[in-house]
Amino acid sequence: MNMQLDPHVKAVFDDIVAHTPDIGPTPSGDVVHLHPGRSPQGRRWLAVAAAAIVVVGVGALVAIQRPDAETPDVAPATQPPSPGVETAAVAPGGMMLFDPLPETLANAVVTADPGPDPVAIPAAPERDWVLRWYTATMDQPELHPHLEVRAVSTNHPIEPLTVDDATAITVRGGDGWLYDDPFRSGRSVAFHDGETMFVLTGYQLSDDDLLLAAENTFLADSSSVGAVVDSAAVPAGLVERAVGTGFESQFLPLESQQHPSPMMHWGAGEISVFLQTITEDSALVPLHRLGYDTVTDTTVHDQPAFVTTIASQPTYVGVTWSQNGITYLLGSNGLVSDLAVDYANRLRLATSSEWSNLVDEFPSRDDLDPAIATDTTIVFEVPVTGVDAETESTTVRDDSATPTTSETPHLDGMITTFENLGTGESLTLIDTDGVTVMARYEPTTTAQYCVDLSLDGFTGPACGDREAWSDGQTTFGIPSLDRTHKLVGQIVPDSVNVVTTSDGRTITPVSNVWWDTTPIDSTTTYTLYTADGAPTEVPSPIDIDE
Amino acid sequence: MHQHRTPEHNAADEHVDVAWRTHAPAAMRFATAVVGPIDAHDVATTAFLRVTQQPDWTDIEHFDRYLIRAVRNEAQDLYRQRRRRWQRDLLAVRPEASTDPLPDVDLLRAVASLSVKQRSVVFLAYWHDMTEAEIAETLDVTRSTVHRTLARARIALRKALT
Repeated sequence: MNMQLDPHVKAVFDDIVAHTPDIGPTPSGDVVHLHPGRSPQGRRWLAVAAAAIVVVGVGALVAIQRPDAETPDVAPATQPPSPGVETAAVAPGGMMLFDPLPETLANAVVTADPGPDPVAIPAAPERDWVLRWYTATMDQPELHPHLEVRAVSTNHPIEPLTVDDATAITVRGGDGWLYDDPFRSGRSVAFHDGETMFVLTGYQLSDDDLLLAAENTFLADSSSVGAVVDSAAVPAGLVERAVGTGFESQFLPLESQQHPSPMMHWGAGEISVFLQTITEDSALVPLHRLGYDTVTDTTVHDQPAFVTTIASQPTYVGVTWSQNGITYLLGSNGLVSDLAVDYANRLRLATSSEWSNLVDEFPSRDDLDPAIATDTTIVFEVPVTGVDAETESTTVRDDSATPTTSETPHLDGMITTFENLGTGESLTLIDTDGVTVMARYEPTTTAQYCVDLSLDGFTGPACGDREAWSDGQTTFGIPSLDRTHKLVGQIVPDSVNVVTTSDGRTITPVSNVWWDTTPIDSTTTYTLYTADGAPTEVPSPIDIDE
Repeated sequence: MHQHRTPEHNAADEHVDVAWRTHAPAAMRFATAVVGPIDAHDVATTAFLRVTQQPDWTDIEHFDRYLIRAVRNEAQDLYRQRRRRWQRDLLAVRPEASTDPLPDVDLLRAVASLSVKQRSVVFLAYWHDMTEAEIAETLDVTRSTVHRTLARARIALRKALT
């Protein structure tokens, strides 16, 4: 134990523990809303602007018999490993490294994320979609009829993004929609039943087939998770293949939660590359061909591989292959297909010590976020009059104006920032002094509104659904790569036109965004002012600073 | 503590009651150390319910450790849900409605800035005086993970003392 730290840290915890609440009566089952599975994490580092974003469910409930994260669980290599890499010392999850490093990534910003801890018993996420695939074949399944069934626990129906073009239908006596999948070539049925939202997307299937399947789609019994189609209603020729989780176009079989699933990201200007590993049955690899606009076969490390592209995101190229029981996805932005394959071929298995060093040297966002979260306070609910944002003159606080809680706060601006964007498009909101903030609208089954942030080479996204951004509580922030300073900011309603800081500065929001860079250890209070002369209350995101 | 008992309580309920009375204090302390007094009760009770609603929960060996891990996991969930909501960490460990002077504001901030994983390990190391091996066993992680986590946390904490 560190002699210098020891008494001080103990004293801090003594003080904290002294405020431990009384345990109260034995809790009963009705104090929390219980779901049949695990909760979603979204802990993943998300590759900026990359299409294949991954959210892996791990979780809250059962963390028993965790496999040793330091112990490689990959099968012995079937190909000769690179010199100096012994199979016994392979990195968890079979993570690979560039060898040699492509020149374009020589100065890249790197992050290494070990991913969620493996679990002994895979379970479905509580608040994220569970996907189940039915395909006609596993040989080029994208060329044949297939059906994706998604389910998520929610009390409210989730309207399709293309609701204006959707046909209102009745499914099992309730409201539903029939519409073209706005991002892929499929046709979807969405409906809400009980506390579950169901979405079935069929490819090369008739509307009649799809509607029949929807009418007969229910939550799985206790032996499985997610939704299943009653066997009699499964479109002819289709066979259930796998159930799992996923986000965007990446599918993650449930069983993959039992293994490490690390990820690395390299960002160098307009080029970004990420490598995701998934331990899964190699028979399921063809499922990763689904959901893309083009799939082209190739080879990587002498193994069958395929290149995937997405029409709505033309800068994205993905390369997927299976090796030693691990499925690798190299995703890229800014590379042409041949170069992406070349990059994949430059990868070699990392050793466990190399990986440990990388994780230490390039921590993931999970380790970086809390440092920012600690020292910044944002104050809301300050109605004022007479504020002139441009001249910063005569700020007169109208204390007589009593803030009132509005059922419909001025939130239009927040969403307008995103909704002016087309699918997959990015809009640069800020690009100055080493800071870039880009808005990105990634509507999938659940609309995701993202802000891609960059501060002196460290990049990261903040994504959320409409509700998350509209509640007026969502801020964003990242540290600089050297962790000497931080970028903080927020998307605000049109009505907010001045932000003042506790150290006497004034910030004018641009494009519904205000931002600030301060030393990482600084403590700053931000106060938002409106100038419409009327009390305008933005819901308080946090307790007001004392 | 007041227990609401009714004639309908069966043996299973009795097991749950006993488990709660026996293990909740330690779980609640751990939750307080990791997420603070405001959220501690929710986190601890949710974790307890999740564990005891498993069909074979009475067969769990070392229930105390198992519950600590469940609390840790629940805390991580809470943290992730709120990751964009700033000031959470500071509020989480700041004793509310207290007139007691804080022992060391800078160090408190440093503790607050630790991730859930780091705070869990630091609490067990510094308050429970557990060895790295004991922490690894309690949290069901490897010793090297504990060692690395502690090393990182100490760097952050030491900065607060300089």
